[in-house]
Amino acid sequence: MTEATATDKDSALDRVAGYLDDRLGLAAGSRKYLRKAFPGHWSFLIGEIALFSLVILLVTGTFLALFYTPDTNLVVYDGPYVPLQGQMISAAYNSTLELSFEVRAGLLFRQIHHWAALLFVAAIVAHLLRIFFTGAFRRPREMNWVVGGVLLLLAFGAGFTGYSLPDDLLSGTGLRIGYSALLSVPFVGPLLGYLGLGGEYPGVGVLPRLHIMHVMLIPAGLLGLLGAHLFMVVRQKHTQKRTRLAREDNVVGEPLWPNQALTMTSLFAFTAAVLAFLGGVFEINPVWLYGQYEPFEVFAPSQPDWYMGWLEGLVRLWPAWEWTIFGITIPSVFLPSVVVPGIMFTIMFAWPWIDARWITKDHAEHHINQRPRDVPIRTAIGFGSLTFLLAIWVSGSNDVVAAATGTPLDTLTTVLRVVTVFAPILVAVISFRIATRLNEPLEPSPTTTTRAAESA
Amino acid sequence: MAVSLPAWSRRLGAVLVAVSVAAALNLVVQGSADAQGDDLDPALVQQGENIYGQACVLCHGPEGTGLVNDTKAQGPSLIGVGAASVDFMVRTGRMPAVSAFDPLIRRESDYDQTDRAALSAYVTRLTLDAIEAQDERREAAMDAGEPFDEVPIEVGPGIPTVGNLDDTDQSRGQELFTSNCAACHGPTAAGIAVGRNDVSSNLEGVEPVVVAESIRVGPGVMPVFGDDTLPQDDLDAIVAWVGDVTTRSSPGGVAVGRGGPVNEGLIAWVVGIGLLGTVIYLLGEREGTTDLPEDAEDDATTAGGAHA
Amino acid sequence: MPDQSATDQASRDPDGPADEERREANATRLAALSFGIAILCALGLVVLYVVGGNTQAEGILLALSLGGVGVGLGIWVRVIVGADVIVEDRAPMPSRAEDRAELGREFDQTVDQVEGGGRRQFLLRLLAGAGASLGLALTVPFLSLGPIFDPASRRELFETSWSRGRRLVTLEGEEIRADTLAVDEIATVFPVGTDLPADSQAVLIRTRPGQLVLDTLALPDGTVNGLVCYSKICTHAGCPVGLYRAQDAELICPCHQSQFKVTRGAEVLSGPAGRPLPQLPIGIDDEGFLVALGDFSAPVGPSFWNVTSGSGDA
Repeated sequence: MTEATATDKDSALDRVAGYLDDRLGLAAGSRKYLRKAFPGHWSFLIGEIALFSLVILLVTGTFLALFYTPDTNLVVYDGPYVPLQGQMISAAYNSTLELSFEVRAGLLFRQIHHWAALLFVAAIVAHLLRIFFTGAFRRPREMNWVVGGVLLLLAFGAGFTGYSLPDDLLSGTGLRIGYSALLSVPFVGPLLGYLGLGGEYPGVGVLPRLHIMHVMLIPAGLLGLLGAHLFMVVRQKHTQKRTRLAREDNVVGEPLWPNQALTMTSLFAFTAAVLAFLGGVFEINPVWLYGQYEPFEVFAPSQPDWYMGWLEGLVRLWPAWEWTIFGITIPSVFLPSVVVPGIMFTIMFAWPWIDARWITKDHAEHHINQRPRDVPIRTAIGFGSLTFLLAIWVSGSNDVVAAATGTPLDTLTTVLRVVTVFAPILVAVISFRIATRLNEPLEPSPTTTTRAAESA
Repeated sequence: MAVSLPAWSRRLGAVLVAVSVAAALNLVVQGSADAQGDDLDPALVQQGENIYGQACVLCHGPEGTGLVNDTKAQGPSLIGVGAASVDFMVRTGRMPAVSAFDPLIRRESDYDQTDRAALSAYVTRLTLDAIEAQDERREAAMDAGEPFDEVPIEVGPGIPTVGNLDDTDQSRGQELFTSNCAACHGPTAAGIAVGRNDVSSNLEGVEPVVVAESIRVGPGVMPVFGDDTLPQDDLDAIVAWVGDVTTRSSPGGVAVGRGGPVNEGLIAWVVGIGLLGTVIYLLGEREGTTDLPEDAEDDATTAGGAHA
Repeated sequence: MPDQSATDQASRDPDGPADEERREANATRLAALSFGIAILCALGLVVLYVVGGNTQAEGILLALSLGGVGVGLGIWVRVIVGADVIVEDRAPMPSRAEDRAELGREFDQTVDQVEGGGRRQFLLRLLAGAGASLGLALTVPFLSLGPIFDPASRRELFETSWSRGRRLVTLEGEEIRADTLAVDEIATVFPVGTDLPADSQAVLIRTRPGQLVLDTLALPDGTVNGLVCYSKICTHAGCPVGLYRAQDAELICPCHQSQFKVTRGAEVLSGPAGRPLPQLPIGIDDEGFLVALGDFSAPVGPSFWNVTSGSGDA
């Protein structure tokens, strides 16, 4: 084998590439990966929106971190926002106001960061639905499904710790509820609460702890698992839609270079553009209006960011079931805030195995995706679960919905309880019927007609 | 970066008018509280009686004591509600109601300020009559040596004055509003469901004196805030802040209804995912890679090609 | 890696090479225009930033600049580069059986070199034990995060700063007389001389005459002249119960809408709260000011496992 050598005719780029290849020997591998095939269905780009949102979160978050102070010590506000001038506020809230009103482009960065967080989780959820309904989690991708699920949980954690940092009245309210959920765990609740906050609520100043989680621990986890997520995608190669060319032993798509690379760069620019537009034009989390958090103050409506809305709704809907047996109390907030979410996520994580064992009874390796109609039971369970999530999510805003629709609050809550229990079943049955109907041949065969006539 | 500061100069134009109206009405009613009704202008009371007879008597009864167990109409007693309450209810069109089941919501009022002053005077007259009647009953009972169950009756709060709102401490107003009002009206006074079928009022565009009246009176399910706990300066500060926060510009852009995370989440999905969904649909759909097999019913590719 | 081009240019474009060229020329112009807009907007953003900035203008310029790049690249890849479908081979995921077997054998060999027989098992177990113990020793310091070794801290959940004779003060720090609050009025109160401890917040409410149903109260003797005082912390998830419906004498928690009947010992009417708001018994001292007659009737705030049976003294 002869070694490549640079010649004078080469451009600057060629010379740089040559320099690197001389030292790292990348040419052969690059040739292989630049021709890697990326299946071309639009829904395969949903996950990339999440990826790019995360990149934007890291960039904007770094900027914010240079100005934010996780300090609950009180200072006198003397910034330009008149309605808070002279008030004793925490240094954390002060730095958030400074970011919003005094740091040039600070408000833009703050707002882009917050919108990116909402979009990040939204894209993860949309991506998860795509994977679920097309059966893309089947062998050999069960582990990647689990990694994706953990990424979703980390995204929740990043969001919750993030919107708790400004120390405004809304953020403190969320923290209060989180502490109560922790406290409700039987036997160890008070211990967990003390460890979390450093004492009885509001503790010793929890912001430094939340801050280190938000800017270090959770991002580290997100990036590490994202690496594992993408490594597995490259190792196992993409799934693909069933097409004329697609088979289980091939991948039909466009090459990484130039098609996929340009598509991805374009999408990255679009994601950033949409977030810049949202961040510049739509006000988000106007903390200056909410005021400093005080444990004895609250306002209505108090909602978490959208991705925690389902949990909030579950807590709002849950009846006042509080039992004391042999002196041991099960607080009413324990089941909806700890046990039910625990069950929900356990089912989600175990889904690939549940699906293979009881639904498809298929343990073989698959790379061609299914259509939702191909597995009616899975589709029915999926839409039923979505309906359940939607119902509890709406319940998290029951006061807003009641005010908007003029429904009495109690009536609405009762209706939502009924809907939460029965609508998922109804939707599951309907989706099962639709899925099975779609599987029937377009022209009813004579036998089906006869059978229908007989039964009628 | 230029910070969009509150529009300091922007003030509700009605402030001065409202202040003078309030002052005028107070002269009429406030004086009557101690002077046993002699200061009530008889002509005004007569005018009030006429309006009362047309619009109020059906539900509140001829003596203003209210109708509670009537099947056709019912209304609470007006004895001791005070001029502030009458003025608030009529000025904001909440009264007269069409029926007892009519929700107490803001409407255009058919009554001008003289009408309201007249009604307030008449309701004060009714209260004073009730006090007199009780005095007579007490005397009669004492004469007969029978025990008497006295019900304390007061004339009720007069229409509050609103000071010069430009001089108030905004920061104080913000603090007081947050600790006293935001639990029901929300951080920006936009109103929200507050239990049963009640929704707290959106205070945008509400006249300052009306805000002050509602604080002192506690209309509907709203609690009362008396001047022992909320002195005049604090009342002014809250009233000014309500006018300010509901018209305050939003430096962050479109305020999306100031509805908090609910609206923000909807925007994230509709605008964010909506726009990017369109983008990936245009960008990601590639010819030749996603067309369906010619025979869509042929499951050979999925089942047959599986690796064991 | 073998790949094959599945489309050829001619069949993809039935209108002939001339149309194709025109299409590409148009697309190139459009892409150039997009990149031009991106450059202008980005430079505009720099200028805007230097002269002072405005969030909306910054956002729009940034969006246009990024959008220009996105549109330009999109046109580039979809029209100028065009579709290029390749087919890549895919092998089943498991390694070949002989590779697996070989790896296993090699691993066993290297482990065997360490030590032979039962001795090895013993050593491995000890190593695992050392690892686990070290892990425990390194995890334990996380208990420093809370005061869990301080016996006094265990009582915190059961006690507040209220005690017999302690005057009630408003948020302004003003002491309260029996007639300070009007009927239907509500005030947030704290014990005098404290820095507003979160667990001691309480609401003082003046109910309408005769409305209080005394025998439903936890402490029937702890009211004054229609005034009743409850913990302001919701027994459900701990939000301040700040929403008072005076007409119906109901306190509502704005977070999860638990409703408490003020005149009936703050019993739960609806919503997720599992127990009434604890009552603070109040009386009047020699100088006519409202004072607490003791601590709350029960531990305040959200329930926890030994809320009814524990005292924190254990």
